[in-house]
Amino acid sequence: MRLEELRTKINACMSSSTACGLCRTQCPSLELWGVESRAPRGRMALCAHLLRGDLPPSNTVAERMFSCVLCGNCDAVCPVGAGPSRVIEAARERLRERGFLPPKYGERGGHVAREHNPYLEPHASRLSWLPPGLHLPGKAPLVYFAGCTSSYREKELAGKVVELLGRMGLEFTLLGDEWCCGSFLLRTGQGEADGATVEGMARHNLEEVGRRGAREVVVNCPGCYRAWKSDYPELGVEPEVGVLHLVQLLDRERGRLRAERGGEVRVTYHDPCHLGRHMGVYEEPRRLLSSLPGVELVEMPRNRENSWCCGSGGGFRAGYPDASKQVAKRRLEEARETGAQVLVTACPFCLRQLRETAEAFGLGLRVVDLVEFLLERWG
Amino acid sequence: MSSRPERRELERELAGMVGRENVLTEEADLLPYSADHFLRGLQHYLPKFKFLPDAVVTPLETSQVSRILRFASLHRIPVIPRGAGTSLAGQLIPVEGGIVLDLKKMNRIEPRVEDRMVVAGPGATYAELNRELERRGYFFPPEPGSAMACTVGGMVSTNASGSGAVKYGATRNYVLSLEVVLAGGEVVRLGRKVAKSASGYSLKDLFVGSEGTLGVITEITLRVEPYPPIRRTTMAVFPSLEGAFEAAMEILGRGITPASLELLDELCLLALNMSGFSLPEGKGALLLRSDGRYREAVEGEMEEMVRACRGKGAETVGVEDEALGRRLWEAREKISASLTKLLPSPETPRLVFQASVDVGLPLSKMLEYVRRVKALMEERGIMGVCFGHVGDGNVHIGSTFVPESPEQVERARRFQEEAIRLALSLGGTLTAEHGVGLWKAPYLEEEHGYALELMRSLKRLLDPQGILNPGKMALDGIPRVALMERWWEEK
Repeated sequence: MRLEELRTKINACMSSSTACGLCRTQCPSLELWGVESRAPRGRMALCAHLLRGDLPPSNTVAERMFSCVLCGNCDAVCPVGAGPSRVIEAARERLRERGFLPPKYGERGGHVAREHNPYLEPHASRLSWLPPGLHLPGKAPLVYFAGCTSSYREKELAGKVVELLGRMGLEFTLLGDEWCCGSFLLRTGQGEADGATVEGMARHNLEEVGRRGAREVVVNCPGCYRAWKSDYPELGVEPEVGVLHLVQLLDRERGRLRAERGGEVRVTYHDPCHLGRHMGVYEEPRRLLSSLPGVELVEMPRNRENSWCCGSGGGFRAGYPDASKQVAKRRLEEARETGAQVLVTACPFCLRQLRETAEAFGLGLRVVDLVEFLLERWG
Repeated sequence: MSSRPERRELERELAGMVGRENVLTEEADLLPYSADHFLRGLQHYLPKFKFLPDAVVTPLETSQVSRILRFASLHRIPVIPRGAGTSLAGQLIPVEGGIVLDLKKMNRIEPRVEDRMVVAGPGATYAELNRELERRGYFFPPEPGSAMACTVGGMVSTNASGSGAVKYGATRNYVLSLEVVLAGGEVVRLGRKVAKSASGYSLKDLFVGSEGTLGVITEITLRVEPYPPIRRTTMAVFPSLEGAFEAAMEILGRGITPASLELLDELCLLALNMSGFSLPEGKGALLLRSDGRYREAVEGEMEEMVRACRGKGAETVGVEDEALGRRLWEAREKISASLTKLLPSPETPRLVFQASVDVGLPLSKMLEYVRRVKALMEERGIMGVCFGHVGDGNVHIGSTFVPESPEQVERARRFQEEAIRLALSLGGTLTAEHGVGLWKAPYLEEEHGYALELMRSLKRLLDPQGILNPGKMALDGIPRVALMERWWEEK
């Protein structure tokens, strides 16, 4: 973010008609710690002091910025469009430039530069999720970009995505050499890490798409979706292909779905922050779920732009594992109160976080990705 | 009494009372507590305006508050209780440093609707409290402009209210009982958890609106109202501001008590249209709400109000469109923020001193007041707006100025002073809902005369060391910051 833009956003918040505190209404880190320096308005005030130079950058200031999940709930309620979460992201970048990046993120950032994923895994094993015996064409109109979380941590889900695309009869393939989309770096203030830049990663991935002759890229990770669809153009790298999240593709092609099996079930849908609030994709997954025979879709009180985060965004799960589970627990309790038996989401990161937390606290709620849910009911 | 301890010692002592995790002393944690909604903007542009507390403590229970106050009293350390920091009059500024008590973690909500009441911690938010109550068919009505963020403790401390006050009254009308920790650490219960009581002095009422100067409120019992399931909203846009006032007076004169009766002037309408609405153009508007249990009654009341407005030449919107009605209310809640859209450029630092004037007037004097204030604005070259809760005589005036310019700051200050004095001269009060804090302290004596001496005597009785929220409400002198002159002297 350019300095002038940053200054404008901070000025908008700090004018005495605002600095209103509406952003305190749904802030996970404020709920966790209960103090102003970990609430959006307090962080905006710290950014204002940093920018003016009357607060020196420090590890403490950096910690206050990195203890935000970047869910963007504050952006959604801000009456002047100051966008606290974007300012916090920009502050992370500037703190990193001055040597105050928390080491945990730096280590992962360096790994992205070398091995193209933030999970400290070798690049060579990126495709280890691929079901044996699967043969995909060298060229296809559609490319599935699996992303790091599905490739390394939710391998089964990645396998199910290709299974579903196959069952739907869609002609698709994978990238020959898929790299991290760069979302982890952007969210943790590392536009540049060990010489690697997100622009460079974007160009690499786009060149790979070009080699496949594809007209469209589909992703199942909302973090990747935001990177491809919104961050790349902001960085000056405009994808010349269509970019879709899987729920959009499934919605468009729902005539090919045969998810007609299974008994009656009540489900609720969790909006991933990157897909919903950040990119405005709310209705497609709901349309899909509502169209399934026997499925009753019920809403949690906080849904769509007011949705409560799963607690894993913005590097929060990596930096604050216990606190992030508390955020997820709150979401799961909301889901349970609807009387739903199944919580459906459309994000490998939310899936992992919510499923693990449901198990850890014995909350008795089944958490699945929409892809898994559709396959279960296929037939 | 011993001297004020060094910061490290203070930290150690406080940690012993509430646990290390509930004590903040690093600059990065203290800075956000050096201002509230009122002062943040000025601090942003005039950085020397920094009133850092020595520590911030986030207590979890009454016994911890009691220990902190006993300790603070012994060492004569200022204590500033704080809710969500949405105050508009500088109530939370730690002008003498000290300990800020952030009460956010004391946020218990215990609905007792069978008794038509709710028991809450001071840190419970108004929005959360009402979510819990509405699930049970009840609500706590005062609805201040900061309804989404403010805390119940803050509302009691400032006797807050808003657009619902015309029908439902202010916070005070709902307070049944308070648990308060006094300056020396004594815990007292004021009032009983019953619907009415004629037993002794109503000391709870002394603490409502006391802005943290007499004690720290640690538990609040509020009366609740059945939630009105039927609500209708209409906006009436008039060719003249006078027309809007006349319609409002006619509505009230017919014996109607609307759920809300809000006034907006021409610039407010412009700001709303710049925020995405397509409202008719006009010189003034009324936002009307009717609510109740029975559809026919609510719609009948709204029809009568709409007729009154149309009789004064108004064009009305939202009557048949409930979704638009809801959006209009959301827009009204954000009117202050919308005013920034009127500024020439977001890059140009401008302060909108919104709602910093919130005088209350007899209904019969409102039109005269608004006319004279608008004439003053023109005379002084001030860009500003008038809006407010016309149903209960509460007028807000917002004005803008460039904070880098001492002349403009002085001009804005003088204008606001004149606006307050004009209200007093018309028999009004200097604050109808925001409270006194720092900003209105210089004018309190003009309103209260000798009664202010009585308030000071009560302050000395309850807080002999003067540790509770010093510098506010003109109880212990008026800090120079409240007079504003110092703001540019020190720039």
